[in-house]
Amino acid sequence: MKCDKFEVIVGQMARNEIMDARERDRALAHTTVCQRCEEILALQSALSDDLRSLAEDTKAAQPRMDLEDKVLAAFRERTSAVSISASPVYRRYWAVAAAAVVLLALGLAAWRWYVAPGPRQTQQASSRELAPPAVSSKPDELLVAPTGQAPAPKPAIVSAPGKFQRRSKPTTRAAQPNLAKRSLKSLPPATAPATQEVVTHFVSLGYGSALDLQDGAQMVRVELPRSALARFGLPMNMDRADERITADVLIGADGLARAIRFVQPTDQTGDPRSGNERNEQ
Amino acid sequence: MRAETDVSDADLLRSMLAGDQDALAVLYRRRHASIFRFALQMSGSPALAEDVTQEVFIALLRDGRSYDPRRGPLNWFLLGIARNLMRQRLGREQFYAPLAEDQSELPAAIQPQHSSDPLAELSRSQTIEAVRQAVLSLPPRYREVVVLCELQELSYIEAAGVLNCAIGTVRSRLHRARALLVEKMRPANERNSEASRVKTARCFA
Repeated sequence: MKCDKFEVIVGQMARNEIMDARERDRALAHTTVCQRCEEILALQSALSDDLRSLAEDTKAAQPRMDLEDKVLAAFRERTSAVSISASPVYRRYWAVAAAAVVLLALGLAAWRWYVAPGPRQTQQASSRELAPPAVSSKPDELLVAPTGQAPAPKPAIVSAPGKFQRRSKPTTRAAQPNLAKRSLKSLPPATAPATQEVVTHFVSLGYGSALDLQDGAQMVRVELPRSALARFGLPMNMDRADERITADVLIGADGLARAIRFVQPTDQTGDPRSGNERNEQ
Repeated sequence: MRAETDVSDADLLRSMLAGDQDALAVLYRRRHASIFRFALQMSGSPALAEDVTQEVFIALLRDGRSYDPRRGPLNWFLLGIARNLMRQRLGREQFYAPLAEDQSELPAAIQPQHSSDPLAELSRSQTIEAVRQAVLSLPPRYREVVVLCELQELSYIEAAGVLNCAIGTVRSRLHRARALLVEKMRPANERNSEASRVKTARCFA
């Protein structure tokens, strides 16, 4: 056996590991002729003895007795933390889910209320704001005007035109594009594009100032008995008292009617058309 | 409940994860000594070894479900956790200089024992301390192999399971570690032999 081979197995020999007996004998025979390898074997054997002594010395080493208590306390703390935190998590999930469902339902209802066309708002206006004070006490007298007409000029007392335009769109059938197209189709081709309107100034209905409209306003076109002109101090032809006239009612954000103006459709030549003629169209 | 020795470690772990505190107590009493010894022999610090032992069981509470019995016994798993924790702690604390050693800090089991022959006891204590310092001065990858195979007396297969490496790697590392230890112990042996020679010369003088 050569020295390099001996150095490979000397550790196993020093540790008294199970190995090939013939190889072990050859290694021992090598130590009798090689003093360096003999010294290596002696050092390795001494190291094994020293390591064994160290192992014996630390074999009975134990941690402090209270370490077990610490570990068990950590276990109890963790177990209680898990049991405490688990139930509120599920409770929180249920609460969040319920809140989400409620919010979804409210949002859907609000959206449907906002998008739904005129009849609800017409009824609302007729029953709450417009009917009693100024115009009429009969809800069925307030009808949304048929369309096909050019949009009315903006009132001077509205200070937020953007809002005014946006919010007035769904409230009047005249402002809805589909209905407007349908109405234009139903009109005779010669007269439809020639329609114009003559309007009065807005007359305050006395429920507040123009500052109340800064939060936004809606304009609703209605039809009234011609006798309503007399209530606002305007001249009225008594022979046509049974006819209806068109008016724009300005409704504030709080739902109260703020002002009214009267509208008279005219043709392109400027001749006013009677309400009956319009109704016939 | 069956006797503590009848229940396997895996069953105890399962019960512990289900919330059984007694199972943890049994598991701790069964396995804490080897973990503590491993940490003590790796670090030389009883306080650090206790910290690591505690952290091993806390890690078992937290990550016990990741134990796979097919990969080896639970003891390997625990020693593997201890090894990783030791590496973290040793890497973190290598920048701190140790204070002067206080013998009173050592556990009672490794306190110097007093016998009828104080000189022999002193020599033995010096030898053990020299070996301990030599082991502690090894690089961690060699030190852990020496601790597992020489001091904990695990087989190569068991050490390979703990270290999650091949058996050949364990063999080669142990061979290299022993060579390093011989080199580290040689000056001490030579010093002892020189001292004995001087003593002999004085006697003859």
